[in-house]
Amino acid sequence: MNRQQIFNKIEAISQKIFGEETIITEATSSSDIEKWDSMNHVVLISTIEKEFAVTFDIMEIIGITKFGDFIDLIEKKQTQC
Amino acid sequence: MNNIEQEIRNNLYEFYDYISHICGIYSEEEDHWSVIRNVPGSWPRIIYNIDPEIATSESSIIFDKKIKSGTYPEILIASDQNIKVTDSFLRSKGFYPFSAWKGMAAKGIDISVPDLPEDLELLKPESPEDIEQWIKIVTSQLISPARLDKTLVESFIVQPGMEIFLLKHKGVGVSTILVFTSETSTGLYLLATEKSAQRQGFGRLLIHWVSFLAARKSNRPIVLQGTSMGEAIYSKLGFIAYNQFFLYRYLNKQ
Repeated sequence: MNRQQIFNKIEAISQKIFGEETIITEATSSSDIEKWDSMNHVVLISTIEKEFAVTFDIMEIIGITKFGDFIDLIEKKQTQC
Repeated sequence: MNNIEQEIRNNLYEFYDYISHICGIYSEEEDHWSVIRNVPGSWPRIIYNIDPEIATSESSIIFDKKIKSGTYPEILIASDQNIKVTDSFLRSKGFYPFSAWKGMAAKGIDISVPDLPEDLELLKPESPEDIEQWIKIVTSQLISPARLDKTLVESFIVQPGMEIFLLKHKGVGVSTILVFTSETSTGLYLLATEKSAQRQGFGRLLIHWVSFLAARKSNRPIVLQGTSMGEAIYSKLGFIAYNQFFLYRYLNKQ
């Protein structure tokens, strides 16, 4: 899966969680989306883990501040497989 | 684990112990973690002070039921001690980390008498107006207004070991802090600056003042917990990060 495909999938997930009107870029962060609170943060992480069949470790999760971070991590994990 | 890491950890846990005892919402049902009961509308509502070695035993089933029934709160603070064991256990129970705090302690902090420009006033709020201002700042930045009980804040004023400060600029409250002094350390909590007053050095001045006052009273280490954003500010004030605390939120999948 290339970077654009990962982004498209994450965008679809984010629209399910934050609302269909949500438009994201790789730079979009929690401060840009009003509904991105701690509860939706954990929902987002667990959904992405499930959809991409990956597990993020605690330090990786703590380091996530924007959508691009998710893509970087998923790409890294794909390379490791 | 060195002594200062222990001091940072102990101060945080003792702070929550103290507040939950004041509120009468401390639960002593379990011996392998501390729980502040899930009372709707109250702050704080957390589980903390986990002993991961015991928490992974069979009693976790009871814990899981209590979370799902709403008896226990959904926010949990885990220290970095044995975090891999704790993290694995918590994830298996449906908790996900969502944030982290750095446990920091003052080292080489400037405790000379700070300046206090004429248009600034540092006080311990006692009048209803000043208490209102203190609460307004804290609830605009840190805690939901519905969850911070005014009577709890008023009780801080009379509790030994607990002090709250308000920094006013031209007569209007701009920054808050709560100082909790345990037997062995001084902890700084609820540091908040009104949004329109941020980036003007008020928070920095307030920390400088309370550190100065604490250092005059005793040589106990001064500790605090900072988010990644706050870490840079605290570092400039002479605080060093020693350990980390992870915040988890329960994700009920059912």
